[in-house]
Amino acid sequence: MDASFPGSGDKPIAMLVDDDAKVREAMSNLLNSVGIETISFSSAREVLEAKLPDRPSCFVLDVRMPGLSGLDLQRHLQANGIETPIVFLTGHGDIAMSVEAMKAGAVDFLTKPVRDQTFLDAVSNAIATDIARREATLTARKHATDYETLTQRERQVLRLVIGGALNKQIAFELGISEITVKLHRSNMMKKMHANSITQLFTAWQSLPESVRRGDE
Amino acid sequence: MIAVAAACICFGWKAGLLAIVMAGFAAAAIETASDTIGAGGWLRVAVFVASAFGLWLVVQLFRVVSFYEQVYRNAQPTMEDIPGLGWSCYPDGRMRFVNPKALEFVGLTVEEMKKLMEAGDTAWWQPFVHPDDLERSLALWKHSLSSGEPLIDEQRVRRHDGTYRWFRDSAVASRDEHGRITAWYGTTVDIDDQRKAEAALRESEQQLRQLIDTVPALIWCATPDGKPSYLNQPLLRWTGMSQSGETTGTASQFAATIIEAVHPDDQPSFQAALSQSFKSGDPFMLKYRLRRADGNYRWIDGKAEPLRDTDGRILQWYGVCLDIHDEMQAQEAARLADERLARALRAASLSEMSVSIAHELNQPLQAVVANANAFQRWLRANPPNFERASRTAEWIIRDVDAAADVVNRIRALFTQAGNSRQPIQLNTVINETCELVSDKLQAGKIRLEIDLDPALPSVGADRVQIEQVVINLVRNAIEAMQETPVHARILRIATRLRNSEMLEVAVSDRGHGIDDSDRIFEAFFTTKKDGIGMGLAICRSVIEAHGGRVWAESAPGRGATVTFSLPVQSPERDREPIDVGTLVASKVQTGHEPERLPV
Repeated sequence: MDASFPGSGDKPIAMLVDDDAKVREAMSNLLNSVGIETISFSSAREVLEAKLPDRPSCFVLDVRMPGLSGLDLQRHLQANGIETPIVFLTGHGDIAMSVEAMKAGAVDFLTKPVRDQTFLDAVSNAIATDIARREATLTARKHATDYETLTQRERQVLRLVIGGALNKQIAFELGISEITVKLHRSNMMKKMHANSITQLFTAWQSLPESVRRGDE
Repeated sequence: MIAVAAACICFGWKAGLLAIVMAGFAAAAIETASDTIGAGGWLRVAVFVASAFGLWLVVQLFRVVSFYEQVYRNAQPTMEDIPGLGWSCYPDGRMRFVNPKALEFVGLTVEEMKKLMEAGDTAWWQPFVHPDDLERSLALWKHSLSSGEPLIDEQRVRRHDGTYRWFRDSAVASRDEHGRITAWYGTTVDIDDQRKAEAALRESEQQLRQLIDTVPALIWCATPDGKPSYLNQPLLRWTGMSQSGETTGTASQFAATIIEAVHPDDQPSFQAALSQSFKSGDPFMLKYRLRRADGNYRWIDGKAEPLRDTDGRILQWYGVCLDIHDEMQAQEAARLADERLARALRAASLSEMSVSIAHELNQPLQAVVANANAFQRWLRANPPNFERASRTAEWIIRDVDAAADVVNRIRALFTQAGNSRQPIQLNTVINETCELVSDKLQAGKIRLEIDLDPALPSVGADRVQIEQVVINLVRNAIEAMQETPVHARILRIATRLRNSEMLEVAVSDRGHGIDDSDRIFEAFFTTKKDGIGMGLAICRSVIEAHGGRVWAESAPGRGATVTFSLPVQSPERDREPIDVGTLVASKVQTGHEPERLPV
């Protein structure tokens, strides 16, 4: 299996959480053998106290652990705004439990003993999901920064362009000449790094909800 | 006349001498008068009467003089040496003398004392007595002065520094030979420390009484013959008795009152224990139900001990009753809950244990699977990573050992738990088990047929384990009949003695039957959708550990019969006792020992 993840600068890492050292070691060994780095935690508490790596990653959680269970940890992570994907491993496939975990955003719910390929696929999926998530976050951040550079007038023009208005209509709406609209528009497109209306629209879509509603 | 005068001598020689002289003068006057006045027969008589009157006056005068002489003579300061505070008064109460110690105490100078004396006040001591005590002291003083009775009074007297101390004043009247009061003599003794000690004693007694009346216990005291001498307030309130009503009666009346309030069921034991204690002097100790004021019977923990004098005679009985009704009820509730829990546990533990065992095996199994795959990948890598592969192989061996350990521990759990074996009646065990699952039978609309051999001998076995086996078989049978038509759902349990050494228990159902009646006892083999296949495997372990055998017979479509046999004689009890918690304990151990490499 190829463990390269295109489009990501950093090497991915899987974070294993299991109270059983043997299982922890074995799963980590299996992931290492396909080139995925791992980091192990023996309890949910340890995870919450640790500084988690800023890399494409995923969690592999044992459901049944003394103290905080895997499901408890999932809740805590979400409450802390950590959206790293989670693969659950459980000794006994409890349907109700897996439904709960999946609803809460888990990528997979596997029953021990799990086949190696199933497990590795689940982890790869989770990591791919995380990479996509991280990229989306990065792009959104870039677009938000671009948006910040716009002047008030340019922002007004952007809003109207997104709304599908022609230059003439924009000029009428803002009470300025069409020439000026064209000037603002080209500046705006440059600042937003958009070559076409489609790209501009994608960037607009990635902006935070509050910005789009014009709450500032 | 001279004879009369001579008689006057008895009043005092001076008076007598004067009277004789007077009588002589009178006689001479009468004589002279009769000579000078011839016709004065009447005059003579008059002179005679006058002389006699004068004589009487003289006598009286002397008597008074001699009395006062006596009074004042004694007024000399002869009491100076009296220890303590001494004083003396005239019969009318005026101050006559106060000794220096008393003067010093109240801070009077001699001049001031003289002034007081001259003032002639009959209650001259008033300024020195505490205002609160004044009225009573005055009344007593007046009473004594008028009646002559001795004065005994306690009052606070002001010291020279203004502080008051308690004194006991006692005074008696001094009388002359005619019984007339000539003076009052008094001493005043400092009793302040005594008064304070008494007050402290009263206070501590009060506190003790308050304590006894406040503690949440019913306390009583009784005389050696059983008459109550004291009942504390909580006791009176609790029982609704009145202090006066019950404590004034005789011992037997009181006993009757108490015994009547004891719960009828407890009366004989209560009466026996009480009379035994009062007879022998042994401490009384009994838990019984007593009627409270509201009419409810409540559990009481009663205890009593005798107080004896140095000769060992009982002086007093001290008793305490504690209302333990709530504790008793809580205990009873806890006992019932325990029983229910134990029954529920007995019914549930086999499946619970199976889940736990499955989890136990799952962990090493998962590790083996993952490591074996990793092993393969390390070898297939380009270039192959032999170092990691070798380490992985070591881990695989270790994990397989751990799995084998789990299996061994499970086996040990059933083969070595012989320490709790005792003779049990299988028929009884079966009847009780059927009660435990009666709700399941009802829910499954299953008719139960029990065919027990009444002559079944007892077997030496672990009761709980055999119960588990029976429960498991009965549950399996119930579950096997889920799809059987209701009228045909019959569960049959039979016991019989096969020969002199073995007896058999057969559990039959009318379910779908068993396809492979040999494999069903293997671990992890199951015919159920949600089973994990440990139940019958454990049953077999248990039965074989008891020296018996278990087998199944089935006619497809007509149900199955699972039979187990047990030896009549118990197998030798030479096995090591084992803690049943081993499985759980070792589970914790394997869970938290991170590095355990094979030796």
